[in-house]
Amino acid sequence: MHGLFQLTIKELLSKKIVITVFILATVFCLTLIFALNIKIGGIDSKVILNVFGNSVNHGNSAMPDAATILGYIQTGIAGAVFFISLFISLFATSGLFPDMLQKGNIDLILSKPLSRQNIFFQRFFGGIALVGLNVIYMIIFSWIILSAKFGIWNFRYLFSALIIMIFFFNIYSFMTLIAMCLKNSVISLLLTYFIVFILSPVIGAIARFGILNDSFYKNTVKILHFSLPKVNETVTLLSDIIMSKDFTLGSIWVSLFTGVIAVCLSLMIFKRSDF
Amino acid sequence: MIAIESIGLTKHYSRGNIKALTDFNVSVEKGKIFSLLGPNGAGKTTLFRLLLGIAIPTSGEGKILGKDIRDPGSRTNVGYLSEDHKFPGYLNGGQFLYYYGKMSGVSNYDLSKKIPDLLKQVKLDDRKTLKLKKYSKGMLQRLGTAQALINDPGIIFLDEPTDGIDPIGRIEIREILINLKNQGKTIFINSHLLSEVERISDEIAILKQGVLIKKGNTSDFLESTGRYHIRVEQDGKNALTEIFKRRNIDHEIMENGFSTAISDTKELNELIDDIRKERINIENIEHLKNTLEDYFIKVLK
Repeated sequence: MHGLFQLTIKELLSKKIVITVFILATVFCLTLIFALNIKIGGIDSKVILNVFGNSVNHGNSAMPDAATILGYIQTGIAGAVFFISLFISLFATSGLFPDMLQKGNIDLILSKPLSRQNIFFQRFFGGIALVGLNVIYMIIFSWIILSAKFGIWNFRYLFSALIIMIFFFNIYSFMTLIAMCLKNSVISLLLTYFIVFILSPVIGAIARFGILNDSFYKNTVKILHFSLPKVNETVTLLSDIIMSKDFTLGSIWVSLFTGVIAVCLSLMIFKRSDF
Repeated sequence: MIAIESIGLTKHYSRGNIKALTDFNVSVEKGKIFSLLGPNGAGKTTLFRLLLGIAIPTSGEGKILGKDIRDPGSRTNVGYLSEDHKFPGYLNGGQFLYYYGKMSGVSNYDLSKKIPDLLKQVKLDDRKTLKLKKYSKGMLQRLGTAQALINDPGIIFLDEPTDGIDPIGRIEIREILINLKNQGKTIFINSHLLSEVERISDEIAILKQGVLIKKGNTSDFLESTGRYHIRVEQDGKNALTEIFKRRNIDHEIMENGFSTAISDTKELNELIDDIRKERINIENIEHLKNTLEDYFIKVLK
């Protein structure tokens, strides 16, 4: 009965963009193998880092220790995976619900002995599954290479895959809700991009720096800041976890909570719609 | 046994301003071919959508093999071909049947046996690896029919099954349907092609503006006109006109024969005796009946 889940995976794979991301990730990781060269030696365990054969200097100050350098590199990679893979994954998955809801397609799916709830979740998690596989692949592959190169196995880096996926779940839920309301993949994608990459960081910055004095606007920003995907906080959390700093999981819990609310609303709309 | 039942099914949109279907009552016995007729917007597709859980009824009940249509389990034994289907262009014929068969709950083992058989049945076995975006409309229609049969359903809903299919393809679809009927399957058809419906249906229902106008056996719609069409050799036409005058039979000269109003077979046989006495060669005698099209137009005007 999980044919729709399989069909969703097949649909995403048919879009060359998912395969392209996978190939690019592989090329990047292979480049790491050959380009990055690290030596830790001597009495003071001095670190010598070479990229494409060129020695990397840390300005006038002394080179940080190996674990810190590894943390910097892993934070950079996790940040890149976070932004690039989310940007592309949203693009690839934006058509999943609007395409399914098209007349002539949804009729056939609904005529199968599947509840609407089952249909919704097979479609929803089909999208998440493939994106998740790509993210996990990128993080684990780069983790193995970097750990082998540095001789330091920073397991906390692996958590970045989970954090990225929770954040993707959050924004994918928002995009699904918009798609359910508007039934248009282009508009739902553009609105999601706007919310995630423009509105949310701006609202986050306003809330953080306390720019507004008026209590009405202040409260509005607070509510928006709570409800919208937390880009700034998630990037900070990624860095803190990888660099072994103190961190709070508040933004992740809120992402999960608002994501679940968006999923519930989308499901409610789907269950009550006539096609 | 009742296969499909609709009890007062009603679907109104825009707070009752658009009445797509009103208080529709019908029951279809197992093993019958039941056809829905009506002009565009009569509510035929709405009825399909309600029965298949695609739209939600405003009021009323529907049952498929005794199960409430609100229960997804009611669609376990159902196959469906929609009117404006939009099949995923990135799949090929075999993959399409596989994924939609899985959605119908068919096992991988059964699918591996059924897919080649069905593709052969709809004459697409040589195109099974071709992407659907390259299929013609007729090919998609035939593939859609195969899809509707993938779970070996007891009840098949076909919305315009011969739409976009050439005359030979139509004959093939008709043969498939008659074959399915002979296997004891119930077929619920929505079609504009009245001649097709007339040939294969056991029962017919006519809808107009969401309301059931008439329902009955196909023969109920094909009433006798009380007239016969007689065609004779060219040489015998004048002699036949004389016979008509002599026997005082109302007749009408048509392009390739005569149309006569004869009340019973006794009178017809006496006429034939007279014609043969005059050594006129009869080429054809046909009992004229109203076609479904005649009835349809009369009812809907």
